Amino acid sequence: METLAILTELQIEEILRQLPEPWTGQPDDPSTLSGRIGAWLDFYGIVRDLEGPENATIDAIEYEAHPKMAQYQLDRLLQEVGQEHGVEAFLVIHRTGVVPVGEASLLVRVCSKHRGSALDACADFINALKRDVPIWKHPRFV
Amino acid sequence: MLTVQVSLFAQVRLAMGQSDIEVTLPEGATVDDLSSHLREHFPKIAPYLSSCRVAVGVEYASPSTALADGDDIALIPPVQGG
Repeated sequence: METLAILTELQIEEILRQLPEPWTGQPDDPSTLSGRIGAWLDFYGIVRDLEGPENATIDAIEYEAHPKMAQYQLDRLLQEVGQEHGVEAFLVIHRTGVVPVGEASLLVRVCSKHRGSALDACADFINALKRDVPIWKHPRFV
Repeated sequence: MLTVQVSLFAQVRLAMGQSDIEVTLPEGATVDDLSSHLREHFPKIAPYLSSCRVAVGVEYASPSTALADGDDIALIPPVQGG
């Protein structure tokens, strides 16, 4: 299984262009995994314009992290969840710093033999991320 | 005695107005002892302790985890990634 966890303040698209193989391909061209996978799933978490119990309007969220521990926990969860579901390749990018409304703060990419395992692995990974990875939100209210 | 660095994040960091503190404890102290020390000596942190987890290095620790001189500790409020 190939795994890659990235915690970054850079734009996701900039990072994707810099990723080592097999991640330099476009999502609809999984050529380096050809023949091994039947499911390629990308999940983007997007910053919405409403936040908190009162649905107050925001223009961005600033993400704070414990960088070293967050990286370790992301790596650990990729391994654990990936092995549990038989994932072929697993990628996560979580941005830190200021992420404006409408932009992605999170990308989870799962490649597996079948759709069921990709969908389950993605859901389990995000649930675990929201439980264990030391990242916090600071909404910027308008 | 042993001395540890305690990193603070999110609402705990904001409440304290600083991102880390240094704490000295007796030899053999545990995470639970650290929590008691923080509750007693750092009233700005005390209200958050019940909702925080404690990490030693990059791993979550239990209350019975023994501390060592020079450990990097982190108080981890409820996380909000995604």
